[in-house]
Amino acid sequence: MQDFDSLKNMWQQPTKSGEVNKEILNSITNTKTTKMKLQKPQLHGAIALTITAILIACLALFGNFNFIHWYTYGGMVLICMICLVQAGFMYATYKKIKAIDDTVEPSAHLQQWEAYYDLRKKQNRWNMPVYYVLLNVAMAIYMIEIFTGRPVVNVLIFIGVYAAWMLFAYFYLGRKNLRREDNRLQGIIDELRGIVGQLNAEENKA
Amino acid sequence: MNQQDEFTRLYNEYGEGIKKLCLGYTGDAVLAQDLLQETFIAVWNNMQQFRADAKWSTWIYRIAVNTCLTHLRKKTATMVDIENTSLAMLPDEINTKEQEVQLLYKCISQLPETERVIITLVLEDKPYEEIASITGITEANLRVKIHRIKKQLTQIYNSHAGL
Repeated sequence: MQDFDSLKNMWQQPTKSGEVNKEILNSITNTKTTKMKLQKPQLHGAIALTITAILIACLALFGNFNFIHWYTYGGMVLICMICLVQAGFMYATYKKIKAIDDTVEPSAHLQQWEAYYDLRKKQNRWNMPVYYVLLNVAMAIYMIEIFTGRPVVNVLIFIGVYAAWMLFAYFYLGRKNLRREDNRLQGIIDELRGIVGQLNAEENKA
Repeated sequence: MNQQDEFTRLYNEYGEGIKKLCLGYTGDAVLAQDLLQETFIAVWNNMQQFRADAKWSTWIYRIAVNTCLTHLRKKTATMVDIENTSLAMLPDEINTKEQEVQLLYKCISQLPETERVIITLVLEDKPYEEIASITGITEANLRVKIHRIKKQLTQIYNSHAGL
């Protein structure tokens, strides 16, 4: 029969974990934590949208398209602005995740994740629909002049392919990503809530 | 001392203890290694924010506890294996010290999450004041809790070791 002190002696036996080496230091830069996995898509999305906006702006300025109507350029400007606003929004989300402090007490750590999760839930409700509607309105304005005088069949084929891609991106890709993020966050929150529940239960018992 | 030297010192000083905490928490060597790495990534990323009025030990262990707690999801599946398979496969008689330690890790991983963290810190001989600071539980409540967990862990261990 072992008593607790015997278990403690057993626990305190030295292990073969060894000293820090280059491999471990390299792994610090290569390993992705849960937080990083949430941050990465936001940062990459922000960068991609900024690059898109810059490319469209360059096309509008130096593309020599010689559009007749001002609103065609207006459509391009709108697309740039929508991309930049969305990029700013994604960057702000990235900063919010980054700001979650891993060094505070577990209950405070949970509260930060909860606050972030609540914010994301609110954002997810309006951000994607608003982004897609505005982007497509801007695209429609841009396309008016492009489609003018073109064969109806070609226009219909283009609109069909474009609409199919947008619907796929919105209803499949977009929702899949949101669901994945939602599940990941909800998992963290639910189980951290359980932990805090354990802590609180003990506090109440004592 | 630059950041890398400081980090190396911290890893050498606390790496083993954190690894044990992760092993006790998960009961799984591979997952514990992942958690150890995640903990030290967070240590590396937050080192600049460390204030000298706190203790490195408290600060690092708190990061480790938060890292363990946010990895519950992955661990749940492993827990089923531990309970249903690993312990069942252990020999009736524990022959070597290494097996004894492995059994101890498995037994700790059967406790509720917060209790795993607390008992691991007790086994590491952390003062109650520091454990309270790491977990955010008041010292008075911690004493009551620790007394109960010690008893519980000893019972689990003895029942599995067949003693």
